[in-house]
Amino acid sequence: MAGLIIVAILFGGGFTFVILRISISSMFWFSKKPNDKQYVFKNQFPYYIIVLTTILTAILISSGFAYFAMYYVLGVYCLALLIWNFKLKHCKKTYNNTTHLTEQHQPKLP
Amino acid sequence: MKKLALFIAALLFSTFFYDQSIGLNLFLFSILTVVILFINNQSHFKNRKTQIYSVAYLITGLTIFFHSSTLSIIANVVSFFTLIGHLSETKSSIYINWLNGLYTTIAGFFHRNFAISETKSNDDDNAEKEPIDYLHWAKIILIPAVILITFIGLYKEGNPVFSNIIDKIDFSFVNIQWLLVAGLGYYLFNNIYAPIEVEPATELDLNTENNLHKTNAFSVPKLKQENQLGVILISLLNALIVLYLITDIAFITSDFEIKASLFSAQVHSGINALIASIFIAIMILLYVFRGNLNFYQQNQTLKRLAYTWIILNILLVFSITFKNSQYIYYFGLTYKRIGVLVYLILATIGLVTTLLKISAIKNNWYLFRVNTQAAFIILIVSSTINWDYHITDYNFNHAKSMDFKYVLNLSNNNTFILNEQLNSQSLDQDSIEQIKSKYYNYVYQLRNNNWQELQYDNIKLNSK
Repeated sequence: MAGLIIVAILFGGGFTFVILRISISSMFWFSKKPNDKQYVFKNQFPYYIIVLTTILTAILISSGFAYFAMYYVLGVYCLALLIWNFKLKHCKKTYNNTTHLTEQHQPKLP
Repeated sequence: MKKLALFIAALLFSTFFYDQSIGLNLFLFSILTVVILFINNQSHFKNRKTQIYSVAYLITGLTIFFHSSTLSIIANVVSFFTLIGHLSETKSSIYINWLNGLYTTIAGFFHRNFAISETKSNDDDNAEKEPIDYLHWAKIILIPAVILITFIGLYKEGNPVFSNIIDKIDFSFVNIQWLLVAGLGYYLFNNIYAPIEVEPATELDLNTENNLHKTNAFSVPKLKQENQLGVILISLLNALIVLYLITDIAFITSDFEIKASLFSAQVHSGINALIASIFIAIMILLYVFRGNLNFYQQNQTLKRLAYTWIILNILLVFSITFKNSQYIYYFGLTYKRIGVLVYLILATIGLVTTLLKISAIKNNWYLFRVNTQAAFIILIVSSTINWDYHITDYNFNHAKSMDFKYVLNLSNNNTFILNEQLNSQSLDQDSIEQIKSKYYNYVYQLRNNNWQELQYDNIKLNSK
């Protein structure tokens, strides 16, 4: 039984981590200036964290403020901030800004 | 000093809220929040608007002590965000205050932390920051702790006096949950003590003015056509609303016997449609006066027609108010019927501000700003009223009929007045039993309240 619970927690935690990681990365992918961390932080982070907190609050209320839900919500919130912290301060990855193609300088060239 | 204040606030936060329900604690928390904000933003508190928002926030906290209704809790939360958001940027609109307040509460500490580290890295690009050696810190804490515990175990075996002393050390008073709540409180106060803003939204709001300006697309022939369309449309709508109001007055002043039986169907089917019609009326006016037509020289007739239509719509609001009041008189007061009245007040404000928008050539942002401010004021004012008490009082003493089950199922705020009705009203035995049961349960709950959960009803109960 304990093993099952541990597996369930690991699976749930892993799934949550993947969802958070992808959603935060998508903030960079779909940003106008994905390599400008300050820009992403100012333009995307506030809305991301507000939406995330709204969803977490909804989960908390619908669970009737159960202890498990409280710890889960707190964990997800802290994890999201840690991932944002990593992306903004430590991550060295750069993005190709292919989503915003600009007009060719010499369009008539073959 | 700042850290100490936050630390004390965190301890108080946990004392107020750990394992407690809502009561006096939320009012005390409101005071604590204002104190913390005042300590860190003293210059902002010279601003009149900041003082008003602070007082509004404290009033909503106090209303929770007098009657902890859901509405007063919502009003308290909204005014909390308003005050914090206002401190982040005093010149922004109220809806931006809400956004900034929410953002500060959720991630103020993180935002400041990142912003500071960014400016630092910009200041000294070449100066490498010395990395924190976590392994070293782990060694410093863990190794001595393990060795210390091992030696305590060994010495305990060797000396009975030492063993007794060690056995007497009792850490059971340390409550992990309480500490976690205190940690949460510390994080909350750390977030809010220096409010921050969502920069893109705040900048956009500050750069958006209330006045409408003539655009380059100004074309007299096009505007002439638009003006004609507007005049015809609003003239017809004026004629229609006049006809409706005449028939409505005829209906209201008709036979009273028919009215009582018809009011239920009339109100349910009619009021929703009329409410929608007022909303659509505002939308049509906003569309007609959206741009250059405001600067067209020959728009006087259209403007007069628009003013007339707005005034006629206000008369329509009065007609609905009258019908709703009659309905309340015949069938009693309920939250839905109060909701209709609140909507009608908001609709009247909406119509008046639309009139001002047209006459002073303002844009839609002006309307949005003024109306959200009005909605906020109405929320604060309505949260100060103990609705459950007034619904019960009105239904028992003034209404011609009422739904007893509805009154009984209201919150505990009406328990004392329900109990008073036992002596004055002729109620059947079943209703008396139900009221008594509600009363005794509530009194039991009040008597078990801790000081953090105290309510005004506790004082009333003790004074009896």
